[in-house]
Amino acid sequence: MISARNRPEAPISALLRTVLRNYDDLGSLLAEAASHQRHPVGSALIQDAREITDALRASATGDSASWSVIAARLHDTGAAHARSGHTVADILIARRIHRQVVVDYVRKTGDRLASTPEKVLGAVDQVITACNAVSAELISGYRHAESSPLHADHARAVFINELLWGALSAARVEATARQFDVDPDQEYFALRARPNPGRGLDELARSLGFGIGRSNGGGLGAIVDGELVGFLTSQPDATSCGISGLGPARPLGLLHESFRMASRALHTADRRSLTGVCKFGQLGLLPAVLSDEATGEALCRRYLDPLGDSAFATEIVDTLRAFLTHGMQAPRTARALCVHTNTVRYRIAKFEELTGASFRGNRTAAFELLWALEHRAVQNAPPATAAS
Amino acid sequence: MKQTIDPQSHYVVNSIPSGVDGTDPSGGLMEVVSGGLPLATSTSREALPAMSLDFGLRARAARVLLLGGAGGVARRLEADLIGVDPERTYVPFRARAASGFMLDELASDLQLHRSATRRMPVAEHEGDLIGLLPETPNPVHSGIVGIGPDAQIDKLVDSFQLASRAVDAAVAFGLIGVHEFADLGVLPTIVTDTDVGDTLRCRYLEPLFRIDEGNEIVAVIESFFANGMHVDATAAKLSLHPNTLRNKIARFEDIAGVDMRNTGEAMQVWWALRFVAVTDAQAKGRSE
Repeated sequence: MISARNRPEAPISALLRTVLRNYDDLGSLLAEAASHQRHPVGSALIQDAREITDALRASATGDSASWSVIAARLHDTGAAHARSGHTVADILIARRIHRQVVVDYVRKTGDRLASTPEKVLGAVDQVITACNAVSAELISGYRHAESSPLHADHARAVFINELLWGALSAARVEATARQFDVDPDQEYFALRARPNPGRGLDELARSLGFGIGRSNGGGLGAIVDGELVGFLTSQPDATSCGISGLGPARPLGLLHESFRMASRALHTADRRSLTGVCKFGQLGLLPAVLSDEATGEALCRRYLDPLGDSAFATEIVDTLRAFLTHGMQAPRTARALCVHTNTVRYRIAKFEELTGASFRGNRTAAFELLWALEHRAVQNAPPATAAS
Repeated sequence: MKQTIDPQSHYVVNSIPSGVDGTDPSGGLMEVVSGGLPLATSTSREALPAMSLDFGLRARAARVLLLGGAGGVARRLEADLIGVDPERTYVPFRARAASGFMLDELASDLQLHRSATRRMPVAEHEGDLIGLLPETPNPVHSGIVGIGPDAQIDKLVDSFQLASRAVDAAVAFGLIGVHEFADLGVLPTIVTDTDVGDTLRCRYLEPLFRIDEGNEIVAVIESFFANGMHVDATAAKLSLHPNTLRNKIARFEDIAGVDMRNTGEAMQVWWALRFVAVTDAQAKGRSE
């Protein structure tokens, strides 16, 4: 519960006031730290700089009422973390990273302002006190939610989360699966889904076959960080409620592999404005094009940049796309584009001249060009979620 | 010419007269020892006495500039110390000795003892030689060298990662010599993206392995790609009538559910074949 004993108490220093004024910098640093986290649970928990800066401000004013408001919010956040399936370890790891980022920032600000070591140490001390107070309230909220009747849901969410991120040993997978009436000997398809604008997560879950967190065939689902994650015994039907990524069938112990691919499928669907249920196995090379920025950039430099940025360059690119789609046959390409065959041949020859590439004798150039075109298409199109 | 490469090769670091303390600036070993380049190793403590102070600085600078983890100020300090100009660009490399060659032979092949490169950062890292060069090196025969795009010191970490991917891809595909990341096309992605490679293998090749003539069809499709997907050239190479070849390709299309005239689908089949070649070679390397 909310407790006054957690309240950080100390007059705030000028150094800390400077730190608090630069809230945006701190937010960027936390976002950067979050982006380096391999585990996205940690990433989601790290991003918000407001918790710690608010706690420091409350410390500055010494205002109990202000701290009560903040503590209540932290308490609710802790409870939400519990219901989302985060573990206490997730929260503590995130808090540690959070604290380190803020402490580093205080030190750097101290250097910039030429503060004395005593002042810097004092400010660091205050940051640590405030961080501890924030952690205490988060954990308090987490524990409270854990002891509530919703605990069964929470425990299921934790199991799903750990299963999908490969955090369980084989023995624990089997034992815990039986607790939740999940057949440990069956194969499952991992799923990660996001509702379309205006549609709810519950609606999406129902449309994908999850009733109260459980799918018809014996799979499980949970809401984690605003997304539906889970696993099913069969591939779901397409739904208009949202966009889903589906991984291949895997035994429970290897479900994290399927979930990784489901996540990549969802990301691909998002970037290419695909809808419905996107199966990783049917996306071909698109997930690889999206993942490997460096290769895409290198191939664009080789095959597209030499064409320049003129209207003629656009014509060449359009012709190349059609050429690749129509079996690299000039007559078929010409028919599709309603131009003369020699026009197609001229544009292809111009491409070969400008890039030094050749389509004769091997198909590698064609494959690499196709990759470059896909990469450029992805670069030029904003993510569907951003567009919406 | 391609040579077989043993990716598990171990390398020998040059020996050095005993009693020389690598941390002692008066050690006097500012030059290359015993005809090769003295190499620092992050894994072999006994090799450390072999390092002159000069090389210690070179190795430390290489790690700071290429492996990351240091701030901008630290990078500039290291660069200053070793004489690397922060205003110009350098080529990061990662080199692996070919089977039958030692790392110091590769260092010599890369001409790291020449006056222009004698003070450039270089170190041994995880059994490879890593470092910077003023420009792309000349061809080598004693190993595989991955090259990242040239970059100023603040961008070297990213560029070095591409050099590492280049050497891994070149080794996986049995290539020898110097390879720039940008020139390897999609080969580095085939090596690293096992999710996609394995999915395509299951989709296009797995069905073939369940039928009697599966291996023969795979060999035909391999040859078809090797001959630029030209029916006549492939048929001549395989001593088949063109119509027989067309029938075999049609049979493959039927079993795998693919249209080889569609460049995108053909590329997926090509990718699956390359992926299988790499994973088979890696499995063979492990079993040996």
